[in-house]
Amino acid sequence: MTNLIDKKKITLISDFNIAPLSGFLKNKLEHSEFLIETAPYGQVFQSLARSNESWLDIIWTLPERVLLGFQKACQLEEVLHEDVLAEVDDFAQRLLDVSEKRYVFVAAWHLPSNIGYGMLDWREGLGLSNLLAKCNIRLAEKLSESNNIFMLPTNSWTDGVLKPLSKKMWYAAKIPYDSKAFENAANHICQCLDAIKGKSRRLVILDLDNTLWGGVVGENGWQGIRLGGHDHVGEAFKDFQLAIKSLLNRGFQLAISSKNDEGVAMQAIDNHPEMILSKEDFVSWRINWNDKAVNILELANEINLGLESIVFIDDNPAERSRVSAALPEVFVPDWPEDPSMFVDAFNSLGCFEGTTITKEDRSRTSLYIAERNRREIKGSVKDNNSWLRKLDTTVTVCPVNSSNISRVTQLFNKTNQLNLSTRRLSEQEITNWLDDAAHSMLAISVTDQFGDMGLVGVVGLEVLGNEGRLVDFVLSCRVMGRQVEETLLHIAASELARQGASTMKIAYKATERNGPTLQILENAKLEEIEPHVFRVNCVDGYEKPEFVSLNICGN
Amino acid sequence: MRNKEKFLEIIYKCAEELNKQLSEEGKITLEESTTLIGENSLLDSLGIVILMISIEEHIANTGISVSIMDALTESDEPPFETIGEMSLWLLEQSS
Repeated sequence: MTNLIDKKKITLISDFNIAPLSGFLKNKLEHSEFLIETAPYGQVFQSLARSNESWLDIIWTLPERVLLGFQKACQLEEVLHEDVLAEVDDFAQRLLDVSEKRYVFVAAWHLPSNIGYGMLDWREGLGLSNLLAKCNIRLAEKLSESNNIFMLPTNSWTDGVLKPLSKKMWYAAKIPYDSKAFENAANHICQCLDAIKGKSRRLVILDLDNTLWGGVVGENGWQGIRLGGHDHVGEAFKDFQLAIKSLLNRGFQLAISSKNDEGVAMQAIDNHPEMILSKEDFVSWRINWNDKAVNILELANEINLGLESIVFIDDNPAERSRVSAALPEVFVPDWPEDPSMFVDAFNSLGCFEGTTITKEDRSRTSLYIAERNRREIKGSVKDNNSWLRKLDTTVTVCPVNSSNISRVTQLFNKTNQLNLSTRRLSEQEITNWLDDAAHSMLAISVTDQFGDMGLVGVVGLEVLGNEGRLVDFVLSCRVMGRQVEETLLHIAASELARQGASTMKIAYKATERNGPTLQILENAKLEEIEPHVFRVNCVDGYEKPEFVSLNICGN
Repeated sequence: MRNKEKFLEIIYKCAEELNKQLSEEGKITLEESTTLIGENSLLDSLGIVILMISIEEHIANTGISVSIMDALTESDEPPFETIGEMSLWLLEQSS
């Protein structure tokens, strides 16, 4: 358990009684690294201004209490919308100031109750619905300046709650919402925390029969499965495929684990006119009669993801139970029998939060397919050097700057195996670290003949006098074993030499997952000056691997 | 149907919901002998308010109007202390 003093403080700031949210969060995060505190009731601006050691502020306000102009508008007084928006700007600026020191979650504003101008309520310049929508959009636009602020959509907290606004609770305890809404909020906030900590799921492994389509393809043939068409069940399966497909655009991957004959199943995927998902949408598959737990393990190894990154969706409770028991790290959600409920079940999984969407995310599946092609080539050549030569790898080095810092932050927080010190840093923390003249950071991108793998590595450096230090060595495992690791050591030593250092010290900090980093250091023929601490002579440099070309930004 | 068991069911349901917000040591034991009001109660004033209003609202959904908060604030002696006593009091109020 995390020591109390080491815990990260989360402060709840609100202009209503937020005790229910505090209670739910305390219970959900009881054994975590987080400590929940609540700022004095109703003191939103004072609490924001107060300097404290919070790691995250969660700000949930009522628009009619935090915006004077909106309060007047609620009484149907004539107000200029521009005046209210100026108040929003002021509120946003305070949040932006706070976000320089810590993460901020802001709940989007919710219309207080069924008040307003009735059929005129959406009229421009008049209605409350119109005004509040503008306030939320203005707030979102302003807050987008900071990557440390996340404006959370509160409609998902109140959707499905029979009476989300509880007037009786408001009059008695200044609690405006039903407890179910607070429970939903707490669940969502925990998912967002997981995303910041890089713990979101990344791979969805799907069954086929009665999961992606209705019926059993092995019995009915691909012409006989229920998918799309003038069939309410077929339409439900088609909509489910659409929901899954949308995940690809957010950087998640798909794979298949199905008990079927591979040829028959692939005929359905290739030939059925209503299939939304195509073979190219799946990074890999295991379509056979083997134990699904074994298949999932194989897929995890092939795609190089930990089991805790995987979601497994299967209509068959026996298969779900088997996988849950054998692989407890895999998330195996209960699944409804009725296909018309699949989309809702999928959308409510809550394990696909992300703090950013990068260019690399959007093309992640094609990156993995290119990787599969690389492995196929590897199998066809006689030795490793021939394969490396065929790949024709180019490593490009650029300084970390505003154009790539989102991806760099993502790598810091998601990379486990090839990570020297496993520092988990926010964008602001990286920026602050780089403010020190002794520090520098390089972003590493890789291309080869199969395509652009994008920004896959980060090198953090420190120079004190003539002593250099490799602080961060972060590399996506997708380029592992291709001499990019050694190229990074070459880049780091060269850059430190350029900055006047004569040596580069590399201190490996062990975690549960970064054993491969130590192996690389041990295989790199470095001088080990004490256990797990290595040294490179920067004057002599570290030799660049033979089969990798180097490209320096601006050169 | 108006009987003690029906009211007990509502009290337990609301207490179970509230328990999700309470710490392990502060959780309400779902038994008739559990004290809700008075010296031996584990609930603080906010917990009592949330529980009572939640029970009021659930009972209102069955078409019965009972003002528990009024009864608690208007009398010097609370009309009930335990879950069991509360269910009997609710039965009495609704008949």
